[in-house]
Parts: sequence; C-alpha cells; structure tokens
Amino acid sequence: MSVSKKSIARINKLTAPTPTKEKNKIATIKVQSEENHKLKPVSKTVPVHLL
Amino acid sequence: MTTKTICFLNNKGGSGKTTTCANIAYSLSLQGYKVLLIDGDMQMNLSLSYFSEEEVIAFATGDTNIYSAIKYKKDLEKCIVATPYENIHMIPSSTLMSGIEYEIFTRWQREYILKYALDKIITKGTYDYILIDSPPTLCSWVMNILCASDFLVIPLEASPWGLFGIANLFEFLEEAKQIAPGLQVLGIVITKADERKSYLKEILESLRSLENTYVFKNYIRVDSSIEWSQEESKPVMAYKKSARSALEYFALSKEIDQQCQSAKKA
Repeated sequence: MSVSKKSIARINKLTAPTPTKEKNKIATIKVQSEENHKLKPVSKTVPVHLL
Repeated sequence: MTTKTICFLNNKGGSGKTTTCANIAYSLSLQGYKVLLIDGDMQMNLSLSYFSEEEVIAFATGDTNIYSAIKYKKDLEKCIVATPYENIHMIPSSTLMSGIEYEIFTRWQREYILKYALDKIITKGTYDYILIDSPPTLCSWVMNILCASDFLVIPLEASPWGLFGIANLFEFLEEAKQIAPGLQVLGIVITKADERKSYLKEILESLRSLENTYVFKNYIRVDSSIEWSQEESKPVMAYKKSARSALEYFALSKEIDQQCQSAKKA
C-alpha cells in the first residue's frame, strides 16, 4: 500500500465516530452487597463500556 | 454573530498556513466581516503579509506582540494594531516566540493561557472572526492555539509526505481533544495545487476517500501572484484583484464561512 493510502487509512481510523450507542448501553450485573454484615448478590446497572 | 476563532495548523512547514490565513482574512473582510489576526509563529510571516519589514521588526522588538502579551500577562487588547485595511486588525509576532515554550511551561493551566487572554476580546464581540496562524510544530504553544480555537483548518500541499504529516497531526489532535473538546476540524484545504501534475488527481481521489473529514471543494493553485504580493506585504487580492489565487481564496473564504455557520459551536 502506498504512503498516501496508508495515511488516509490512518486518518479514517483516527476520525471514526465513537460508538456512542455502545457507550450508553446499560447492562445488569450481579455484585456483592453488604447487608446485615453478610455479602449477598444484588443486581446493578452499569454502562456496557465500563464492564 | 458570535466571534468564531479559526486556527490554521499543519506541523509540516511550507504547507500554506500563513498565506491561507492572511488571504482568508482579507477575503472575509471584503464580505463585511471584522477580523482579528493573531500571528502565532516566530517567523512573523503573517505580520509581514500586512506590514513592511521595518514595521514588523518594530512590533517584534517593542511590546505590541503576542510574546510580550503572554510573557508579561498583559491585556491582549493592548497588543492589537490596525492593518492598512479596514476591518482587519492584528496581534503581531516576535522572533522571541522561539522562547514561548519556556515562558508557559511553569504556568498554571498552561494550555489555556491564550484562551483566557482572548476571552475578554471575544466577550466584547468586536470581531466576527479571529484567525490564528500557527508555527509548523506540535508543542504546548500549539496546544494553546487549539484550546483557544473553535475550528481548525488544515492547509495541505498535495504530496505523499504532506498526507503522512496530517495523519500525524490527527494523532496529535486525539490528544488535544481531551483538553479542547469543543474544537472541530473544519476541513483540509489543498494549496499550491499544480494541475499539470497527474499526482494532483491521485491525491484528490485519496482525500475524497476520507470518511469523516471535510475536504474543501475550493483549492488553491500555484500562482506567482502570491509571491509578488508577499514582496509588497499585501494580501494577493489587494495586490492584484484579478489574480487567479485571489479569486480562489475569495471562493474558499465563502466556503469556510458557510462551513462555520453550519457547524454547531460547541
């Protein structure tokens, strides 16, 4: 691939829009919660990209 | 109209940043806009596009220049000088700009020094456009210019190395976005285009395959009127109204204005 084509590919990669939909997607996960000094699993929603 | 700040940046030297900045300013002023130019490059070529060598040296060695304003934390408004043309003012540069990195290095919020200094001028709304010419490098001062700007125009000389250079610039912009989230790349403008070369067609095709970056429809062809106008410290349209590059810069200024009006200011 030529220098200019490689450069164009690099720019396209760098300027590609951030997948915002994916970022805002919410997932439900189970985490350990301390209740009455005992750990028990509870549901919690977090953005997918933080998983 | 709210003041729009545009910087002209490309880390590659000789890409046409200063010539584009100087001539777009003149063309915008012909459309009735009030323009403030800021010469952010130690080479002082933007200053030399509007003032004689003697005047430029007087600004550089005196205290009406951008270096003096930043170093001594002066009111930027006091460094504004009127150019020979109506509606165009300028903050000239100085050769001492070579030491600007040293001056800003230990300052608090050092990437925002220019932005904060410009805020007062922008709030007053005296100017429709502020155009900033940048040095051909990527450094803290350039980061200052990016943080102070709403839009970025990238002049590009049609060559493989030119494209390689702007790919590197886009990598730098990824870093810059973190501290200048409002900055928008307005587009890439081809300068010094030589239609006799088949390579121009090749690079135009390559640029058109850019997916998320605007490439200005108007480009600037090689024209000796540009050098002659620089000899006389005049924008090309003031030197020769009918010059090919003068007409091309005028058309480009309209396209830039249109792009700015349609872009959402962050």
